[in-house]
Amino acid sequence: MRLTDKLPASDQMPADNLIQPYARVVVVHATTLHICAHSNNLPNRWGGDAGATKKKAAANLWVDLPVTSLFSQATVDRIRAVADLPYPPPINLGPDDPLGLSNQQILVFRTNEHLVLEIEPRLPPKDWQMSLLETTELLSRTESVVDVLAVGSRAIYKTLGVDRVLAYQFEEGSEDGVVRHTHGNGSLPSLLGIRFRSDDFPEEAFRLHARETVMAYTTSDRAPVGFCGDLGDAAHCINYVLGCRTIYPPAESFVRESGLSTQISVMLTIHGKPWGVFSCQARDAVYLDYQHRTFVHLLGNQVSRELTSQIHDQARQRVLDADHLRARIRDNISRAPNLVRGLTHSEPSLLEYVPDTGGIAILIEDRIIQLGQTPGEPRIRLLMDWAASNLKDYDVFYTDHLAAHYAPGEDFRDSASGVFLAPLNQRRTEWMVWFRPERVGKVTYGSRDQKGPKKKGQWFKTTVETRTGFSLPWTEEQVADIRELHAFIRDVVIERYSELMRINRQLQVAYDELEAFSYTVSHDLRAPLRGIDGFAEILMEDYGPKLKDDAKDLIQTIQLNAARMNQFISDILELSRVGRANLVVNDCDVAQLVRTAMQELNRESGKSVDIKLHEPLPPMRGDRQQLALVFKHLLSNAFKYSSKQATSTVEVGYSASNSFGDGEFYISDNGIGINEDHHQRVFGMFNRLVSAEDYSGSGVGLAVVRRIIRRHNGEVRIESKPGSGATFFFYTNLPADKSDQTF
Amino acid sequence: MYANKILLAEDDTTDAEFFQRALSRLESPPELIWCKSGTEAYQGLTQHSDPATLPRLAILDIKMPGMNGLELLEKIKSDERTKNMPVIIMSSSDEPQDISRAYDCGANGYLVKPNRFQDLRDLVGSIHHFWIKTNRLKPVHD
Repeated sequence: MRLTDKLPASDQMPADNLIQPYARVVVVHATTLHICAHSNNLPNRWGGDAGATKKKAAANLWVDLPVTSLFSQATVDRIRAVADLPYPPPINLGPDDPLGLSNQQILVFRTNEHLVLEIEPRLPPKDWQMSLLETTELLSRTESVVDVLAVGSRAIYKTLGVDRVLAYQFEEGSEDGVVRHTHGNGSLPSLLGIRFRSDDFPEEAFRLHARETVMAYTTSDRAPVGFCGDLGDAAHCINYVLGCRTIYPPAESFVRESGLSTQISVMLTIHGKPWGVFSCQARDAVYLDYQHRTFVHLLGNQVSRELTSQIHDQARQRVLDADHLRARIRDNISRAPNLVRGLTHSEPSLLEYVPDTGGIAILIEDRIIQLGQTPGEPRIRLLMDWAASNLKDYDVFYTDHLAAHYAPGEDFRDSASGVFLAPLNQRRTEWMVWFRPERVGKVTYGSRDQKGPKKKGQWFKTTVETRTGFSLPWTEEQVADIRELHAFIRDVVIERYSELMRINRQLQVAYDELEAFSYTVSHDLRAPLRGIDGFAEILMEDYGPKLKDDAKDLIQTIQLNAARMNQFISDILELSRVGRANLVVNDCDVAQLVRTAMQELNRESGKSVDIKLHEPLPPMRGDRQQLALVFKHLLSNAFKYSSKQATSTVEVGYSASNSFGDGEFYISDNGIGINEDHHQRVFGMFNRLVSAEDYSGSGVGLAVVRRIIRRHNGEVRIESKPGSGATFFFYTNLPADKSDQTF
Repeated sequence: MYANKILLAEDDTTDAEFFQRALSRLESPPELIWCKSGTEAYQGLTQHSDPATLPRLAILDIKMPGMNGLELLEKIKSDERTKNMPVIIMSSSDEPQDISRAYDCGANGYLVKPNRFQDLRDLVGSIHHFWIKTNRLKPVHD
């Protein structure tokens, strides 16, 4: 639709009431059809341009005359017929028109009070349909943004006969833009990869282009042409809508300074927002008529649509990929034993969450955790302090040029020119920071920086600038992605985390009480037990000879049961003891732990059994006494359950990786194995999976093992199938600096 | 000279009776003075603090109502009249911290109450044996 609606007052384009000299404009009153104004280049009644006459009075010659003085009645009828159509077709001037200009055409624009008649030379028609068909077909086969731009540039190049078409993209998140594709005959430099500045495309240009996407300008040795008469409400149309309107000053400078004669730009928009522009240049004068402009406008629309679809597809794919990635990362975070481990050990890594992430630092529980390339810890802490006191008004803060906001950032711009700061708690004492490295390198601009005092000399002069302290900008999409992850971590995990902490504290209290209780009970239970056993013995000693064998058997049964009860109490006590004892944490030599356990087992059993020790073994961090118990119970278990094999094979070793990337120790046997359904049960108290007659023991050993391992912040698991032995895997996970750790 | 007596401070009747029975099976068993609480034991000791009447050995349970075994031990060891009397703490606990606490309070020995009567008898026997042997020597003074 041809747009004649008024531009908002904020539009700063020069309303100079001038047109390019190749066209002529007549403003006619809509109802009386009298001429209200016309451009000064109408032929005067005696031949020659109206504006060319020296006398001013002569210039107004056509004003107030009926429009029929210029056009034949038939032409005027056609003008009236099309004036109110949404897209008035051009009207050809013929030999009958008094104005002459028989190879030209009239374009009719309707304002409230006037008809604006733009008279321009008509060009030889082209096969528009075929061109459009071909381009549409080619566009439908494109697979990338650059493909689309290539097809579009070629079609425009062919249609307009210019020397060069630049496909220029405004850069998201930054103020500049870059030439993404170029097509031409080689007579002008390609400019591929050259950047232009935001000043080269004034805000008004964007707005005008959004309405009238094609803007053509041809230099001329003739000056722009003014008007005589009263323009009334036609002025807006003349300045902003007509095909022959003059263009904004930077474009004019560009044409003049580049030694060009023609500059045609076709705006590319996505969802109504400017995305880029086809900028076409020719050294010779190239005029467009309405048909050409319309065709190029259609091409631009086609390309915009195809771009929208490509970018939408890409974005969709990215969103899908990112969704998938995010889902996996979130899953890892929520399944990890704790938040920090989830954030640092996720696979895929958190670093892959947003493209071009150099590093991530997390300040949590007063610890700094670093992933990838980040500044050093002291610098991160200072940055966090700055953020905590200076970014109170931001929910998150991001920049691609940290030094502009935080001067010390200049010192570590290599790793942190771009930062994205997101607090993890209300008090802003915990943070997550994303770092982007400096995007080093020279940037070639097609123009000089116009900021600051007015510059003399050429505007569009190629300048090479070394941009320092800048990272890749954060795109809207990336910002949204990080916000989302951030919200997830903060709202879901942190909440759950603090909830867990609370529950843990309650558990600890309950657990402490239970420990005290089982200690007391176990000791108190022993006194009556001693009574039962002891008096039975006294009974046997004192009255044995007088008792029948049956009675003696009964007394023995009483003693046997008392002994079993006593064993249970010992086991409960042991379990309670490993839970209560303070841990003295060291790096323990595992081979030594195994040897100690073996000595003790051999001493207890009176037998000498052997094991295979796969050395070297890394040290195991924990309490030496408790770890010795772990090995004793696991080895004892392994021997017990493999004792019925012809040759009992028990092995101790270290396997280098588990699902969290850390290694686990293992103890394996070739015994009877354990059904998978029972893998968790074996660690319970007094859970025995085989009869006591076959394998002695009360079944508390593995419960002790698990309790010790869990106190050491580790885990123990079993891999086994019935009949093919069992392997117990276990690890401890204690920090190097904590010597008194309770789980 | 210490009397041929053993003091037992034990609130549990069963354990006390056990001890009594274990003692009674010895040859020339010593007299057992059984106090059911720390307070009672301390009163008895202070009333018979003369070396001639003071028991040869005191065996104290830890867990007792009122004054417990360790408190009693501290009192015995801080009293000039009784501090040279050997004291053995006998408890069902084999917790290392209980044992070291007993020695910190000045115990001369720590025994874990045997779970089997047979073991108790052996234990009492060996204490008695020790006692007979030391009886032939001079009383222990600093």
